[in-house]
Amino acid sequence: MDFKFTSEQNMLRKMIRRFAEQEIAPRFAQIEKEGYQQDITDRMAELGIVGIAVPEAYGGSGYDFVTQTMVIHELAKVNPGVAFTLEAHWKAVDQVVTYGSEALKERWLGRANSELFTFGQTEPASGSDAGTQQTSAKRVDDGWLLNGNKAFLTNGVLAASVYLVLAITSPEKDLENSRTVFILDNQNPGFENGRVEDFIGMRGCPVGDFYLSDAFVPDVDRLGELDQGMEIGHEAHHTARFLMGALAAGIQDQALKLAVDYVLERELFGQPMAHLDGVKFRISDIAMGAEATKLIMYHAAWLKDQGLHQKSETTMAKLFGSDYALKAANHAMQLFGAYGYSREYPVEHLWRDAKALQYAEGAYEKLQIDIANVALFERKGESYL
Amino acid sequence: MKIAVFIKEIPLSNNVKIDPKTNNMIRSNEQGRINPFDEHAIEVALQLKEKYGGHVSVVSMGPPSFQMSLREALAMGCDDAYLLSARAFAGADTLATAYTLAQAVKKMGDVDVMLFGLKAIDADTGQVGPLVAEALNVPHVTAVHEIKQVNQAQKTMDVAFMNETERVVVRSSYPLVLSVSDAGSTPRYLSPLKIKHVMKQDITIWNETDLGCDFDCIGTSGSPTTVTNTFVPKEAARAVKMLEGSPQAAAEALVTILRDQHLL
Repeated sequence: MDFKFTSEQNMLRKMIRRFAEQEIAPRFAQIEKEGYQQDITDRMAELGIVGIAVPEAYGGSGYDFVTQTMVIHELAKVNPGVAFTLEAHWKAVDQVVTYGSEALKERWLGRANSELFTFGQTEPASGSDAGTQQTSAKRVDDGWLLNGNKAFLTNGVLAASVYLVLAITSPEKDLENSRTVFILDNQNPGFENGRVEDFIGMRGCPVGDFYLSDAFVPDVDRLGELDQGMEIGHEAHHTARFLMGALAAGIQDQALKLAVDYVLERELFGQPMAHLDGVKFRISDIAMGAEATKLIMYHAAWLKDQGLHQKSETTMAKLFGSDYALKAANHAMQLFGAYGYSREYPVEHLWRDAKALQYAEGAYEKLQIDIANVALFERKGESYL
Repeated sequence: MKIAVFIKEIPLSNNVKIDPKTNNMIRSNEQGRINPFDEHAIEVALQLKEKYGGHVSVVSMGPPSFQMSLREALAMGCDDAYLLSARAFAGADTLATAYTLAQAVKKMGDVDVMLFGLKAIDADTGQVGPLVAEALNVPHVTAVHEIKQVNQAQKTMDVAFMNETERVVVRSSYPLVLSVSDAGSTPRYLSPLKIKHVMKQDITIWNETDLGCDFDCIGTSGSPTTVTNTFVPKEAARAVKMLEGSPQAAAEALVTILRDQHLL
C-alpha cells in the first residue's frame, strides 16, 4: 500500500494550486455575486486543465482517475463551484471514452478540451425515481428524434455546450433495458436552453434545464449500444461520486484551515480559543472527516483505475464526504461565532456549497439504500478492505 | 538561436537546515523549488525562442534530486536539460559554480544567449551570472526585464533593464549573459500534458571529468569563500504605543517620536 503521489502528480498538483490561488481565489466575491464565469473555464481550457481527463489521442492529457480526483480536490480547496464544473464535465467525458465508438469519439472528444460537457438524466418530475423519465428518442431514417425536458443539469445553460442525453428507446422493456444515451450540442435546431437555477451554493457552477423538440441526432451519435443507457447512467454516477468526494474534501480542508487560523488567533477567557476543549472537539471532527473522506475517495478512484468493482466505495465517498463537509462547515461557522453567520467572512459559503453535495449525483437517502443493498445482498456482510 | 537558461533549486522556505561544521546550507534530497527569479529567466528564454526560433536548454548544478526542478522547466517548455552533478562539485561558492557552469557552456558549444535569474533568494548574491560572463569573456547585462529586439544577421540584441532611477535599453553583441529580473514577465504555468511527457525525458548528467574541469577550480578547493557563521536574526521585540488625544495632538506626538528616533 503506497499513499504517496507520484512525482508527476505532485508537479501537476503544484501547477493546479498556483492556478487556483492566483486566478480563482481573487474572484471569490465576484463568483458569489454573479455566478458562473466563462472566462475561468476558457483559461482552464487554455492551460490544458479542462482536457486532463481526455485521452492524449484526442488532444487531452489523459490522466487517470486518481489524478483527476486530486485535481478536483485542489480546485475545491479554493472554489468548490469551479471544481464542480469539471466534475460534471469529466464524468460525461469518461462515458464517451468508455462507451463511444471510434467514429463518435472522433466527432466529439476533441471538443472536450475546450468546451464543457454534461450528462442529462434528471427531469422535472424524475430524480431518484428514474422510472418516471419521459424524454424519448424515436427512430427515423439515419438517426433519432429526441423529445423531452431535462432538469437540474450541472453545467446546464451557461457552461456546457455538449450534452449527453438519456432517452427512452424501448418503452416496452423494463427500466434497466429501455433507455439509450445520445450526444448532441446546444446548436442542434431542436435544442433549447431553459432557465438557470438560482441556487444558494456552488455559485461558480451553473445548474439549469433544457428542452428537446424533435431534436435530430444521427445514429453515429448514439453512445453505446441501443438500450444500454441505464448502464451508462449508473457508470456515470460511479465516476461522479468519487469526484464529488473530492469536492467534499476540498470544502473540509477549507473549513479546517479557516477554523484553525481563527481559533489560534482569537482569544477567549484570556487565551487563544485553540486551548479550549470544546473547540478542540470541533477541530478534531473536521480534521478526522477530511482525512477519512480523502481515503475513501482515493480508494474508489484507484479501484476504478484498476478496473475493479467500486460501486459501493464511490457512493460512500460522496455520502460520507457530503456528511462531513456539512459538519465541517457547521463547525467552522460555529467557531467563528456571529462572524461565521456573516457574508463578510468566507465561512458561510462552505455550508451552502456542502449542502449541494447531498442532492447532486444522487440524493442522500438513495445513496444510503445503494450502500446497504451492496452490503446486504452482494457482499452479504463481507468486509470491504 | 541556441539559448541556455541556468536554474538553481532552493529549499522550500520552511525546510532549511544548516551544517554545523561548514555553516553551509544542507542540500538534502528533499524536494525544493526553482528559484523564483530563475522562473522569469525561463520565461524570457521561451519567449525568445517563440519569437526568433531556436532551442532552449535548461542547466542546473546540484545533487540528483535537482532533476525534478529541471523536469519542471521542461514542463514549462524547455527542450532539453543538463544536470552538473558530482561529489567534486559539492561546497562550491559562486566562483567555483560559475567556473563549472562555464565549462558546461563550452561543452554544449555555440550557445548564443545565457540567461540567469537576477539572484537566488536563498543566498541572495546575484554573482553567478556575471561570473560566468567573465569566465567566458562575453558581455553581460544585469536586471534585464525585456529583450526588445534581436538582429540575427548582425548578432546583436537590444535589452531593457532598470537601474536605480530609469529604464535603459542597451545594444550588445551576442553570445552574452543576461541576468533577468522579475519585472517584465510572468512565468508560464506548467502544461499538464508536458508534465506527463517530461517524466520520461532523458536528462544529460555531466560530472567533473565530462566537463574537463581543473580540480583546483571546482567544489570547496575552487571556492575562496569561507562561511564563518550562519545564524537566524532575532526578531526585535515590537512595542505598540497608542497615541491618544485629538488628531492634531496625536500627530504632534508622532512627529516628536519620529524626530527622537532620527527618522525625520
